[in-house]
Amino acid sequence: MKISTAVNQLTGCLEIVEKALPVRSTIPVINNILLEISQNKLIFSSTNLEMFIKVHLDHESSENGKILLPPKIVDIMRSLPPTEVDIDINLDNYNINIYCGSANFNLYGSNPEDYPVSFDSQINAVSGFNINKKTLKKILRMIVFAASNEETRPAFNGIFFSFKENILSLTASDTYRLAYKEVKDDAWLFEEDRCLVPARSLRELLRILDDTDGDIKMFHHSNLITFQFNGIYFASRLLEEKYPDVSGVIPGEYKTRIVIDRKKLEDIINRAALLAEGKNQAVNLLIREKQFEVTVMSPEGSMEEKIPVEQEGEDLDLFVNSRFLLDILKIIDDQKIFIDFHGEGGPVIFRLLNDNSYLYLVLPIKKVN
Amino acid sequence: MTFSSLAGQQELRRMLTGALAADKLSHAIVLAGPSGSGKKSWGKALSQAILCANRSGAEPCMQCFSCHSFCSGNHSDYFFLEPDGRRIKIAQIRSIRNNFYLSGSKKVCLIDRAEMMTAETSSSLLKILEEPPVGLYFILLAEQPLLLFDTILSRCQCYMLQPLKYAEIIELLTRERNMAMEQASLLAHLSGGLPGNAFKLADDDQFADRFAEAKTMAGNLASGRDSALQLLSQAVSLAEREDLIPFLELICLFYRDRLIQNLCGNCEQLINPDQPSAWVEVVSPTGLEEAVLMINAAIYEIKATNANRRLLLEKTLIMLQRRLAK
Repeated sequence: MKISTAVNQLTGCLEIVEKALPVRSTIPVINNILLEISQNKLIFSSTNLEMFIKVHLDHESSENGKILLPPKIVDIMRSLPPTEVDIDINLDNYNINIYCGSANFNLYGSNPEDYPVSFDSQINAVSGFNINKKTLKKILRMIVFAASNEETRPAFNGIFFSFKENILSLTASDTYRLAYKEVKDDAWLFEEDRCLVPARSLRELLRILDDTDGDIKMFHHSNLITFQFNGIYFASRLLEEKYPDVSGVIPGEYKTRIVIDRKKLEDIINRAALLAEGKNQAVNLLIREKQFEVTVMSPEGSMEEKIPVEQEGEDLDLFVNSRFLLDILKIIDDQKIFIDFHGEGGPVIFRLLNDNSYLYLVLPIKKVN
Repeated sequence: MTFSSLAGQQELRRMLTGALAADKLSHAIVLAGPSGSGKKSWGKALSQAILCANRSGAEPCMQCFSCHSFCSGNHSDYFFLEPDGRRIKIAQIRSIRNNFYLSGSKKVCLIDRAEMMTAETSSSLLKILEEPPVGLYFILLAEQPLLLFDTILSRCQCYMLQPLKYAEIIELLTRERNMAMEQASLLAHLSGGLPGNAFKLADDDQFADRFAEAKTMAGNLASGRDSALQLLSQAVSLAEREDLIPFLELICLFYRDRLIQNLCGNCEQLINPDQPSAWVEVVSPTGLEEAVLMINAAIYEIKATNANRRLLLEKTLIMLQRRLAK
């Protein structure tokens, strides 16, 4: 069985598949990449049991078959010169010979029999829906960062997807902050449903999503969510945990609203964060008389900076985690944003001027006197 | 691995298969028993049965994809932890815990020598056990279950593995290792009812040599024909043996058998009915009794203390010969 193709093309596929390879697994088979060869395409698959990636590559072959490729093959492909490569695979003893220019590798593959099944064959029978790739990338970026990485509350390691009529809404939280976004599309008609997708999988998905135009086909099954685009299938298993109802934490009326230049605020907080310390990295925000003031006091010294803002509502003085502010400020590219305050103990909510379907909520730090 | 391929443990078998068949298995199970008692085999059989897709009753089907990949060590929902070095470390449990919360299939986490978990590992496990994810089963194997956290132990169902009957071990050895009846009977007695020990002895190529050597030495000591100088040089070579303890146990076994023979004639209590040479009649029961005690004391000192082996053996050999000759 022979494969002849361009090195770049193969490296591209393998680098995507590599994203789901486990770092070090006690289950031997999943440390490998599964290659399925059929008459007109090659399919590369990998899994770390949480997510599954399949990449299709058009290729004419004379035979059908399957083999497990050792993970080393990704590094080998990267090291080869950008020309044509010939790969000779013996499907009886799983020997792999790679010829490229003057280089010749001989690798030992293995038996694919016990490779875990990733996709149900009925995957296409389920009705999925389309979403623009750029849109999905943008909203995932605005949501995923807010999920928790800590192991104490498994539910918060997930992103909560809720489907209702023609609205898809995503929620992420680590109990100190929360990001929420709604997407509406008249082409959709969902039955009411929900699922919890591990944030880790979505972070990997973000790395794979490129900036080209086009649609992604999404499916949601009982225990799998899949994304399909450009010959790539990406699937993630779901978390079994129950996600708490977060609608109660989002307050209605704001007491203070400011409109502020995002870039200027980011720069200020970046400077302030240099002195902010401790686990909370707290900075003090002061709003009075249409002035927005950031101050930090630490044993090393102090800083303060003031800019004028458009203010609506009462004056205010509170502490927040500077890291939480930077997280949001650096991913938004709007020029100006709203920040809503709900008193000194209430949450701080970031909203976009032109998009009221997004919000990012941060709880302030209690003042200790 | 099926339950029917495992020997003995009637009580455990009844409880586990009963719980499996009724689908009432606890989500956390401790299998406790001494090293070699078959904990791992039972743990694996139980894991496979839990994971099997077409299980009817308690036995796994051995046909489905799940059973197939389990047997080849590639089951994607089976997680196995064992001490990495001396302890089970927190990183080991962290590396797999994400998988526990994924929806779908049943999952099993088997932890071998669970008492070797560090305090952090135990706390992390406890955290999972406190709010167990649906469909996740923990099977902890422990030689000393009381070393586990009380808080973990109280959340688990604890099953003890019992030593097997000699007949069961003999049956196991003749079936699995094609061993002759006599040899199997000898090993069964030496194993102390622990199938793991029996298999270890059966797979030990040096067992026959060691047995013959021990027999000669036991005879020589009893006949008192070696000079003190010879005994000292024997002590030196003995002290360097890697299998010193099993060797001493074998010598002890000969004296024990002769003691029983002297006291009650040829009876069923004899471990090695193979009859010895003439020295049997020469030695008094008191001498034999002292010899057995002395060797056991020496074994204890080697195992439990940091005694100088050569000095200890020199003393033991000289005293043995003196007592036996009396």
